[in-house]
Formats: sequence, structure tokens, C-alpha cells
Amino acid sequence: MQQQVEERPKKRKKQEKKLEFEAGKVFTPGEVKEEDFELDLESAKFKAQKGQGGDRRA
Amino acid sequence: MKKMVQGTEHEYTLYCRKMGTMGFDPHMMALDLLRDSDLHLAGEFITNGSRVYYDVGHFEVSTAETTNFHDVVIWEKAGEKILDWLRRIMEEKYTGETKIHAFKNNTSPDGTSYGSHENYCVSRDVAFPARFIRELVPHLATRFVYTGAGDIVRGKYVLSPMAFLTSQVISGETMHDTGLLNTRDEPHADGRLWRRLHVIVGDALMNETAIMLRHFTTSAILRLMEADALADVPRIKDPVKDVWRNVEIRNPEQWKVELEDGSIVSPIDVQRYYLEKIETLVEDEWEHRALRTLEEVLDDLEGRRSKDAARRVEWLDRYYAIQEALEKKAGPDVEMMACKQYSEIGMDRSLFYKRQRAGLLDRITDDEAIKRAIQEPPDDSRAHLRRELCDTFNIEMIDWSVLIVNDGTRRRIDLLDPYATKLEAPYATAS
Repeated sequence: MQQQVEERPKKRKKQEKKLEFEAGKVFTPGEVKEEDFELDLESAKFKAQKGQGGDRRA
Repeated sequence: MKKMVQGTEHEYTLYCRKMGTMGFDPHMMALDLLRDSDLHLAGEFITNGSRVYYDVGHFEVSTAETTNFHDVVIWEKAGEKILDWLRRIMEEKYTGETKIHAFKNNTSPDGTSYGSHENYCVSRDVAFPARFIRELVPHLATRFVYTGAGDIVRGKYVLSPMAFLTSQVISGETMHDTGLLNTRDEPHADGRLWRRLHVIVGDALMNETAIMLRHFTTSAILRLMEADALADVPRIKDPVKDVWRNVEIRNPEQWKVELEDGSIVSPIDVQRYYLEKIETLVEDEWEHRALRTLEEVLDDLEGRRSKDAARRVEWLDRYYAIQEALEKKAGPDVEMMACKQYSEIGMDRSLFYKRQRAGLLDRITDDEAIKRAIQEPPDDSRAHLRRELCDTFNIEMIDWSVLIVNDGTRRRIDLLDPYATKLEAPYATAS
């Protein structure tokens, strides 16, 4: 009697990803112009949500 | 030194002044982009073995399981760079001239806090919490003299924001009323063998050497505890009181720790006790180098060679960065701008990276290693195996220590050994 063997599903082919990591975007100190570097007021004003940090007991 | 699985978790804060009006949350947008990129693996995991997710209003990255104090720096930096890449894409695609800031720190200017945690896989044989309170807490209460990031909290410059915000010796809380020792017990491994020690009193650090020293010392001390080698550890009378005092003092000569026998020592003395014990563990070149670095840092702090120490101690370098900004620019917000902008992760925005480029800070790795760690998991931990399984099977569900794959039937694969790189290894069994 012939045995029925169910074929295992193959690994699905990965869907085409729209974005590819570009190291050049974040590892290019040569492109940073030091003379343009300025302090930004938004750094002193930004808001964040409370996360998993402490909050010293009064 | 025997390998120890360890990693870090960071709650990054993204900010864009158009956040409200534009109707999008950059934290969520960054996650959406990541999941539509070639770095996505399955579920919340990415190809380098890290887990990336949204957590209480933050973009959180938990590094892959690394097995030593050197690799953890590389994979932590990889996570930072991935977020920076996503931030740049969002600026290009969605916000135009409006900047998106990404901060790797622990407080926003209004004092709201968020976390950065360490995890260490430690033997279940070490009695918890008693031996951790006795043998590890003296380390956690004094290590911030070289692992502190520095910050302005409640109008004061503090050496370590997370130490400043700690409320008690031991606690299970992570948001309020936190402790030097956290009691969370989710091993993500065989709980009969291992505890995942969750350390929440550490700061988000930019400086590679500071991150390395934090993991070198803490993992070595945990190994010493497993070997029962710290019986004569200095016993601190009131660790939280001493933390609260010392964390606001920049002059090492004024730091004080009161021991149970009434004697007064410096946090540096407590660290020198551990240094001597750690010396018995070091074997390879990386460990010898780390030990020498720790010794030099303690010497520099004690000898008040602040400029030398600042190359490796973040609270000192951030303080110098703030002082330099104040010399160049006047205004009420300059101090806070410099303090927070130090922790921006974008190379063109970050005061930290500006100073690193200027050669003011010591590195312990390089960009090539970080680039590789953006794409690939460590090859000597469970992260490698998880990646291999994801590349082989259709994944129905994924977490740190379990996968459900579809290979015809739904099959559960437990990955209970965080050191296992192959399925044949003990505790990484398919059932």
C-alpha cells in the first residue's frame, strides 16, 4: 500500500523589503561640518513620556 | 574569565516639534520602518538578534545575548546606529526641514525619567536577595563614580541620574520607588539553572569605555559571587544615603561611604576592593586591558586628573562639554541644551560624537565591528541559533527562549540555554 506523505511547507520566500540599511547614512563623520555645529534650543525643551526610570521617593 | 550572557535595554526618546500637529508618533513610525526593512527578522526581533519594540512611549532596543563585556558594547552601539538610520529616513521622508531628535539618556529637561537596564545571566545557586545585597549592592552603590553618565536633574548636576533617582536598597519596581537591587525574575532561560539579574540603576551611556567598564566589573563580580569569593566585602551601613550624598559631588576628595563598623572610606576604596578580586579572574588580553583601564580610571579620579579621566568617564566629559558651551554662548538654556545634546545619537547633532571625533574620548571598538553587528548576531550565544532557525523555518511565534515554527505541523522549539548555538546542545530541545 502506498503511503501518503505530506510534503513539508518550504520556508516562505521573504517578502521584498522596501528599505535597505545604508551604513553610509550613519557612519560618515567626513560629511559632518564642524563649523555648522550649533546647540539647538529644542534639546533644552523636548518632552518625553515617563518610562522605566526611577523617581526618587520624597 | 568564564563567559557570561549579558545585554542591555534602552528606552530611546524621539522628539519632533511637529509631533502633535503631524499626527504621528516617531517612535511608532520608526518601528514601522524597521519592520519594513531588510534588518527585520521575525516578530519583534531583528537580524542581529536584538529585540526592538514600543514600550511606555519609547523606542526600546534590547540587545542580543552577548557573552562578554566587549561584545555588549558593540551590539549596544549597533542598536543606537539602527535607530539613527531610521531617524534620518523619517526626516527625509516625512518631516523635511523639521528635525527629529533621538536621545540616549535617562531624563528629559522637565525631569521625566526613562530607563536603561542591564541583564546578566547568573547562577541560580547564589542566594537571592541576601548575597546580592551583601556582595553586589556595595558595587552598585559606588560604581557610578566611573559608570555615571552625568545629567541635570532638578536643577543640579548629578554624576548619575539613575543613582540619583533610586529610592531604596531593594525593590521590584521599575518606574517609581526603584531600588539599587531589582527583584524581577524572568530568566528567559532554564530557571532552575539561571537567574536573569535585572540591573536598573545604570545610566544610558554614550562612551564605549564607560559601557565596557560597567559590564567588565559587574559581570566579574557576579562570577566572583558564584565562586563564593567575596566573603570579606566591605559592608556599607546605608548605601542609599551614601549614593544620594555622593551623586551630587564632583570632587572625589569629598566622596564618603560609611561602613557598618563606623569607618569612613571612599567609593574608590570600595571599587579597589573589587578590582583586587577581579584580578584573580582575568585571563585573556581583553580582560587584562579592561583591568588596567579600571585601575587607571580609579587612579585618575583619586589623583584628580580629571581631563585624563574624562576620556573614559562620561559624567566628567559631559560636565566639561557643558562648561565649554557656557564659555561660548550665553543664555538661560545653554546648560540644559549642552547637557541633553551630548546624548543625541545623530553624529551631526551630538556633542558626544563631536568630542569623539575631536579625539577627546577613548574608544574600545571601531565602526567596522559595529557595522557587522548591525546585520549579524553574536556567533557564540543563543542569538545565533535563533537567527538560524528563523532563516530555516516559517516562524509562527518568537520570543527570547521559545519559537513556534511551521514545518508542516506547528512545532515548539524551546531555547532554554542562552549559551546554545546549536539545537543539539542541552536545554535547547525541539519537542
